[in-house]
Amino acid sequence: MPVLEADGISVRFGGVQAVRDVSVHVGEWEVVGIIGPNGAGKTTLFNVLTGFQRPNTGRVRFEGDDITGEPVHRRAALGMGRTFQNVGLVKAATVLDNLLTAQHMTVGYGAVAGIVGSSLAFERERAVRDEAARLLELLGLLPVADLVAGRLPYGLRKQVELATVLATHPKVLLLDEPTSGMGPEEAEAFGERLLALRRELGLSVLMIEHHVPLVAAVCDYVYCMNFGELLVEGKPDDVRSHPEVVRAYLGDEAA
Amino acid sequence: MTPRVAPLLALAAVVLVLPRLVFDSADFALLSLAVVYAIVGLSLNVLIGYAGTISLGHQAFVGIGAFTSAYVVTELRQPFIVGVLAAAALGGAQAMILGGLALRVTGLYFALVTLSYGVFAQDTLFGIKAITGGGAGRAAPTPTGDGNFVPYYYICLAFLGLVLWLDWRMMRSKTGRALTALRQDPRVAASLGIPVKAYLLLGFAVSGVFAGIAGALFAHGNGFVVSNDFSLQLGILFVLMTVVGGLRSRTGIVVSAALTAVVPLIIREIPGLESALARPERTVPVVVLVAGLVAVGVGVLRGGRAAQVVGVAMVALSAAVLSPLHVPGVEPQLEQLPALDPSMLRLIVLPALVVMTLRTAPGGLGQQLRPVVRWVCGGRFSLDAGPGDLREVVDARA
Repeated sequence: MPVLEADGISVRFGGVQAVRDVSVHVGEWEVVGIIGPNGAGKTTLFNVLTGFQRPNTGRVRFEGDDITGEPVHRRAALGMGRTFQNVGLVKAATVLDNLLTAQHMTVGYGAVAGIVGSSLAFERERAVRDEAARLLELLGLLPVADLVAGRLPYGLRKQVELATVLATHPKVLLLDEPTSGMGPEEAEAFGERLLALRRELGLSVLMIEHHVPLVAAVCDYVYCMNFGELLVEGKPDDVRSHPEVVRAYLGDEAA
Repeated sequence: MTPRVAPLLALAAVVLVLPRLVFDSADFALLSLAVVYAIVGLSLNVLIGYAGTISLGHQAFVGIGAFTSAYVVTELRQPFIVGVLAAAALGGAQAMILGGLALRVTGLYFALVTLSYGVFAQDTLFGIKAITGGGAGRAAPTPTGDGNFVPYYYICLAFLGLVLWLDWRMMRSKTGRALTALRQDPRVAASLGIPVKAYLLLGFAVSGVFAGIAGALFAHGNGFVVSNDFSLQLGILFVLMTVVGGLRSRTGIVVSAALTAVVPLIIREIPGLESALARPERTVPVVVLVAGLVAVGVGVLRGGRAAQVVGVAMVALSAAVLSPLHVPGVEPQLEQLPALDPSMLRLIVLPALVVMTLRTAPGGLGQQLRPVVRWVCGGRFSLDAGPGDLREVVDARA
């Protein structure tokens, strides 16, 4: 059974058809890539999957259940973790506080209990702090724990963002251009880390990515979008050499 | 960090004992008001500072608490504490209704909604005769006996302590983190599993509860509530004192709100100030003189030629008027101007402070007090701490 599945998604903004009849699915343990030139509708599709955008037509299913009408935070609770193109962090808060924020769903006490300062809340807060420290240690981010997230260098911010998303205990990771702003070596290291995470945590991954060598190295399956439509799908090597894909990226003459 | 004992004892002495030594028992009415203002400031801080929205109608929040408690105590013959609890509950409920609107309109439009809500409350809601006594107002007996404000001040302090505790716990629990996240980026907050709308409403509810408590304390400190107590001017004063205190800084807001409330007392205590304020032929040249000096100062520091010239002209002009030479014809003209009401002083001084706050010290008063607070809390000044601006603004972690 696919973990995440989108069926016949269409999104229209006024006169612009941003996404037209796109279907994707992510199986258990799969790493799936979405490629395509700028403006192809990749991020819009992501917004539909994570609940920021209602599709005009089509359904989204998570582990078989229809979640098309569910709000963003409910999808997060089901196990969808998402990163953003421009880094989704609480920028004025420290790295540690970001990890605490990300454990919102698992703190295990009610909002009112926290406000009146019940002993359960004190106890659970300590556990949440330990978990944050454990995750930071795992990703080698402990040295920056007390620094303000928004002031970190871009690459480090991306790593912190990944840590916060992992703190929400996702079953499927949706990564929007995770290696933008990284050099080739960093991107390669990121790919290895991603595969390691899949091994350790049993994650499925759907990612928008421009870095073709990375896609070829880590993805099991690739979709290529152009002008809001699915152009080609298949194994990374097949998609990469497909004449339609080459034309979409490089123009008619190259093909 | 373990808090230092000596400074905390000193603080307790300043708040608990010093007023008894310095002020008459008659002044305790005003001191109670200072504590009430502090609670109002903390209430507004929840909305503006934590949730990142605004309320220009907070006088209505406070007023609803005031009338609720007055009604419960005088009409329903319940004890004072029940009145305060009812005020807190109703304050929270009405704030949530307003918060429901905030989910649909945002930014400047929501500010306008709160503004009209405040005016509507004063004109219409507080005119419902059965509950508020109409224009005649409603009695709200002081629980410690008529005119006996010394114990009442301590009751108010206890409630301030409660509000400070709740505020502190909230910001260090998941609610505080959720509010911070949704203020900075609602999309990120939602994708971390935070129900943004629910937490925004919770922020409004908490703010409303605080304001309701403040309203009840205000009513019973006054002995009487009328709808005219809750004018738009008061609502704006609340916002100004909160911003000057420094958003998200409990210490700064409490100090700034208390100072705002006791300005009339300070004016009375400085000999001659009150009578001087009543004489525009004296005050206007002084204001011009000070403004001129500031202009010269700014001109020199920033290299502004025009500011220097205008500043020198203003200084010269006002000095001539103030000097024993008496520029003929000017003084009688100035006497025609309206006298400055001491209570208006706050609405002139505070906006000036807000501009200064925004221009030069975005953290407000709280930012200036922060090193002291950190030291009291047991923090050590460390050379290895790294640049200060890399740290979170309020770092109260234990």
